[in-house]
Amino acid sequence: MHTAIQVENLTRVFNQRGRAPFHALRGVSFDVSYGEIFGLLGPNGAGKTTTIKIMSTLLLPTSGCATVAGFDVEKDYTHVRPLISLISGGETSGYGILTVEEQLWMFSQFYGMETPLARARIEEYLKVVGMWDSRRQQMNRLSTGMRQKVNLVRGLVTDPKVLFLDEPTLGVDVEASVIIRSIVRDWVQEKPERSVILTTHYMAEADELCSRVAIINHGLILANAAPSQLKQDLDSRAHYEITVDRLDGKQFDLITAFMGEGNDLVLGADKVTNNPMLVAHLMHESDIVRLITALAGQGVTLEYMRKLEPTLEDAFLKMVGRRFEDEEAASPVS
Amino acid sequence: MKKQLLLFLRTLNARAYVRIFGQMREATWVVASVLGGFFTMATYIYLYRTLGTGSEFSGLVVLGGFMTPFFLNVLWGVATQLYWEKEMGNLELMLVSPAPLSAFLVGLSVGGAMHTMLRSLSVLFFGIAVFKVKFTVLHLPLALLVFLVTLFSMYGLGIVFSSLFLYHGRDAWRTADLVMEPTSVLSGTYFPARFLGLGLLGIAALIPTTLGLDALRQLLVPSFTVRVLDWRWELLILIGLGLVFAFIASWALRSVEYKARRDARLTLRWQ
Repeated sequence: MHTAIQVENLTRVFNQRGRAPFHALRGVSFDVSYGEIFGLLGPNGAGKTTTIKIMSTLLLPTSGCATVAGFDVEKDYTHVRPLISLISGGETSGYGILTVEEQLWMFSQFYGMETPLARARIEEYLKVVGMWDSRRQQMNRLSTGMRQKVNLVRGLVTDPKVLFLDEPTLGVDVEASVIIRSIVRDWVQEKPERSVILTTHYMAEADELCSRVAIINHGLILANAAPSQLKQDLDSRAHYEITVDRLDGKQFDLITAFMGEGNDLVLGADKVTNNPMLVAHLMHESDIVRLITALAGQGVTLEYMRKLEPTLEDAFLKMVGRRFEDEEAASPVS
Repeated sequence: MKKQLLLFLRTLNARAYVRIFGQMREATWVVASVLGGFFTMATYIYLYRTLGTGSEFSGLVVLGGFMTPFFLNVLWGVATQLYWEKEMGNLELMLVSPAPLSAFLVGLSVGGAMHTMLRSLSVLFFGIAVFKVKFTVLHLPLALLVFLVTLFSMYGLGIVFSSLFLYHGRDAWRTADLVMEPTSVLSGTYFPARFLGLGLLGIAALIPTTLGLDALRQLLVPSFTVRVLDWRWELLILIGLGLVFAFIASWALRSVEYKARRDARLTLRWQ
C-alpha cells in the first residue's frame, strides 16, 4: 500500500448564525504517498486548515471521504488517531508550569507510550533541536521559537505515520524556521512509512520542502504537482537579467532584431548603479549565447547577469489572477 | 483491551501529574487558598460562639471548611476545565490523541483531589489547633468511606458539568461564578443542611456535598443531632448519585466530542 492519505471530493460547509453558509471546501481531492512531504498552499481562509482538521479527525466533512493509512477518518477515527500527530504554528498548548521534559512526557502518555521509551525519544529529539540543555526550563519561560521546537518534538516523539504540520513556522524567527524545516525533511527520509502534510502560506517553505504541492483557494484545488512542474508549466521560456556598462536605443533595436521573433527584450535601468539593464525572455536556453555574442558585437561590456527562476508565487499569480498577499487581504476569513 | 486500559491509566497518571506536582510550583496560590479557607471558617466559628450555640457547631464548620476546597476544585478545576483546555489549545491535541476524553477528566479529578487534600487537611489542622475543636475518631474508617464516596460523586458531577460548560463556551466562567454561592448555601457548608427545609433539601440532595457533609458530621462530630437522614441512607444515596453521574458523564463526553467534530465550534478558541 503506497497511499498514506486519500481524499476524495471533500466538502465542508459551516453554517453561521444569521449569515449565509460558508463553503470552506468545495470538492477537494488528492492523495499522498508514504515517504512524501505534501504541501497545501494557499492564503488564509483558502481551506487548508479545514482540510487538515478533517484528516486529523477533528472535524467531520459535509460530504466526500478521506482515509489515513487506509482508515476512514469519519468512521474509523479511533484507528487513525494513534497513527497521526498534529503540530500547529503559534501553538500555546500544554501547561506553562511544567518543564519542557515533563510536558513532552505528558503528551507521550496520551499515546500510551512506555515511560523509558518516551524518555529516550524525548532526549534524542531535544538534542536534535538543540534544546536538551533547556529540558528543565518551565514552558512559560520559553521564546516562541523554542516553544515551537518543543511542539515539533511533541509531534515526533510518538513516531506517527502521518505528521500534520499546520503553518509550523508561523511567527518563528529565521533560524528556528531553518532548523524546523531541516528536521522535518530528515525525519520523513528516515523511515519509508512516514509522510508529512504541510500547510503553509510561505511559498518558499513549500518550494523547499515539498515533493508535491496543491494550490488551494476558496476551497478548491487549482493545481496539484511538483513545485518544479508548477513553475515549468508557468512559462517554458528562459528569463535573464543582464546589466551592461552602456546600451543606447539604436543598439537595443539592432540586438532585438538580431534575436528575432519570440525572444522578447526589455530595456530598463539597474536600480543601484543606474546602468542599462536588459530583461530577456528567450525561447530557448541556448539563445543566451546569441544574445551575449550580439552584445559583445556592439562593444558592450557585461557587468552582471543572472537567470530569473519563476517562483511558486508566480504560479499562484497565474492561477488565481492576484498576488498571494492581495488574495489574503480580500479573503473573508483572516 | 489491555492496551486500552494501559492507555487510559497512563493518560490518567500524566494528567494527574500536572495537578499534583505542577500546581505545587505555585506556592503563593496554595498558601492563599489555605488562608482564605481558614478565615472563612474562623468567621463562622466566631459567629456561632457569639450566638452561644453548642460546641458541635464549631465542629460542623471545620468539616465544612475541610470540604470546601474540594467543592471549589470540582467547580473551577473540573467543571470548567474542558473550556480552559480549549482556550489553551490543548483540547484539539487531546482529541487528536488516541486517549479517551474521560481519561483526561478522571486524571485531573484524581490529581485535583490529591492536590486539594493538602489544602483541606491544612484547614482541618488549623481548625483543630486554633479553635480546639474536638472530633470523635470512633467511626473514622466509616467516615473515610463516606468521604471517598462523596468525592467520587462530587467529581462525577464535575465531569458532567465539564461537558456542559464546554458547550456553553465563553459563558462557562460566569456560569461557574453563578452556581458557586447557591451551591455552597444548599450544601450547608457552614450550617446543618436540615435547616434548609424539605423543599430545598430535595434539590440540595442532588449536590453530593450536602449529604456527604451531613453523614461526616454524624460520624465525626460528637452530639451532632440535626441530621438530614441516617448516614447509612446518605451513603447509599451518594453511591447511587455517583453511579448516575458517571453514566451521564460518559454519555455527555461522547456527545460533546461528536458535537465538537460536527460543528467545529467547540474546539476553536474564543467561541
